[in-house]
Amino acid sequence: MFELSIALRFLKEGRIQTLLILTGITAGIAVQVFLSALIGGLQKDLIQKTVGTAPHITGSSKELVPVSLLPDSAVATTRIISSSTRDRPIREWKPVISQLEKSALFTVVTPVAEGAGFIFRGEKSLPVIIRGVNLPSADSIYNISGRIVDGGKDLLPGSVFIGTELASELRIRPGSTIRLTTSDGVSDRFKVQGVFDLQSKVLNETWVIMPLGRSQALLGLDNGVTAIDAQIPQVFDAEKINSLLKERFNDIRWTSWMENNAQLLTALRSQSSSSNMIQILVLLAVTLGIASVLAVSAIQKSRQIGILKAIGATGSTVGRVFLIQGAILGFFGSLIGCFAGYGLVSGFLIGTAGASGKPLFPLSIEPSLYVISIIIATASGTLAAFVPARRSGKLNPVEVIRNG
Amino acid sequence: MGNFLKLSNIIKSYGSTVKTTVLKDISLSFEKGEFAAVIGQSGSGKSTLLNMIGVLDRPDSGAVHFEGVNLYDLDDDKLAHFRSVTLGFVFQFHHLLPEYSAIENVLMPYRIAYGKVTPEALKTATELLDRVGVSDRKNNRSTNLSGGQAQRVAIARALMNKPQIVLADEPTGNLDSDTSESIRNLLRQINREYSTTFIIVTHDRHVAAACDRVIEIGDGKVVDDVKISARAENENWDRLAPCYCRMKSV
Repeated sequence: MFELSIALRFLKEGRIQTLLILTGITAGIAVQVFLSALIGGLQKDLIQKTVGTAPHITGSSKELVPVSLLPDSAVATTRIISSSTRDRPIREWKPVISQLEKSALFTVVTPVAEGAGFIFRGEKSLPVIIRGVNLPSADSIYNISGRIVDGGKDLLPGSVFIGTELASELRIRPGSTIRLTTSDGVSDRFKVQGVFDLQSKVLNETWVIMPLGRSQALLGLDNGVTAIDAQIPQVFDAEKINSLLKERFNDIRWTSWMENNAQLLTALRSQSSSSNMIQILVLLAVTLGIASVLAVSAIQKSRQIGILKAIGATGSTVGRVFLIQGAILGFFGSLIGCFAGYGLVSGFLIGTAGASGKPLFPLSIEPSLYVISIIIATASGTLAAFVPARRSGKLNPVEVIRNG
Repeated sequence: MGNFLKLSNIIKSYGSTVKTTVLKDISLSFEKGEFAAVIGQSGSGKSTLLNMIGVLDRPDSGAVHFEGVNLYDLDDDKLAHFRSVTLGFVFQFHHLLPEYSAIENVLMPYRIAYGKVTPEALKTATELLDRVGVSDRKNNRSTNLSGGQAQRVAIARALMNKPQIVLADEPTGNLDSDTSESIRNLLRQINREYSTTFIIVTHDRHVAAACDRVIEIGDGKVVDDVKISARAENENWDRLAPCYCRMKSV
């Protein structure tokens, strides 16, 4: 291609200029890649810590258990107050879950039958949350089996998992027997099968996990569940999917993690926007760098452009020579910049690695980031070349020839 | 007069606030294979006239017909194509591309007009460099050529696409007298060999005297237009003398 060969020759002949601008673009893109990896990694880590092992969307019953109309009495009043804040179980949960599972929107959907209660061990008793789960699917969210630190991983009927904090508080070991009493006063004995560490003090202190069917019976839910937990592939789609669910299953109250973590989201958003701002400024600097180099080049090469036009090159041909130069600078500058950025990221990972070999905090190296950087830089380079290209295209060869 | 190249009532002015009319209603015709000189004082409009013929610039009014086609009816891209295949340019300052070697410069019009260089095109370029006597310098950068060598390469470049018309603007204006003479002879030989029409803007009376026709431009008009090949050489000199007396005094 004629224009390409001229563009390459112009770049080769102005090699110091070419090298300088390539270095500039490389540095800019390397910083951009590094910054994206750093901020992206931090955000991913934060999100993973926040919602990685939690449901992204939870459905619970819209209706509360109706207030009892029992006549005033001390006992009854106590019961009424406690009952009035409790949700009514979702009875038709099976068709909902099977429909959700059929749609490709969710990675996992699992029922939960949950209620407050007390755990008794000898003389001691502590308030707990009795949580009935369907272990295989619940594992996809909480990874309970993978986090059993003591005892067996099979949740047999009549057995429970408890958290490390609770176990140490009550000095319980796997194989011990405990008694659980619900807020309705229903009580039963269970064998502790395993002790989990969900890396959350609150969960380790309060959760008592048992098979779904057993908790339904214990909590008197009559085959109903109190919640439907779901995870989705893209955590930031939670709001969108949540509103779809609200429309489709309007008798269930759906809440997304985003509603419950508004402050975190605001922090993430401001972090993202500051990162974007830096990236835009870097890109602007790169674009202006290319534009200024090509503008100088267009003036330096105006004689050559005039000659080419005089001997038959069209305005669009010489214009394309500059556009191609811009694209080449953008493409190769960003390509080298990506490698340099990758080098910086790798250096950072090695440099901050602790004794375990794990980095201080994770960096997210997304191939798409590199591809996007290269595409944007190439496009910016081409765009930056637009003004010099236009000027060259309009250059009157007579001016050049006349002035020698 | 034939239908080969015809300029009709060309008017061209420059400037927007203060208008200077450089060409004032010029009409001329050229025949195929003609070897014509355009002479005149500096600022008389001869280079502007050459630019009009070379379709590098558009006139305010008037037309340039080549083989019956009004060139200024064509759009810019078609004009550019016309320049690359039908015209060859030789400028006062050779105007070679400094980034390229002699042979690459010669091949440039071919690449502009036809794209990829074929072995035949390469052969033609080599032959042309040989013909103008600089084949031993074909791989030299144009910046490493003497003025005469560079002008010879520029002539070879002008001939690369086998143009029907070669427009030369002071082709010897920047050269010493010996080199001028060899370039002059070279242009004349090429004119005879290839029947290429030459229109040469010149200050050099030797060049003018060697031409078949001399057109004198003064104040944007054709002052004189003579065919001199039929006359005896000293008669030619007499004929040209008034003009050159004026020019010498400039």
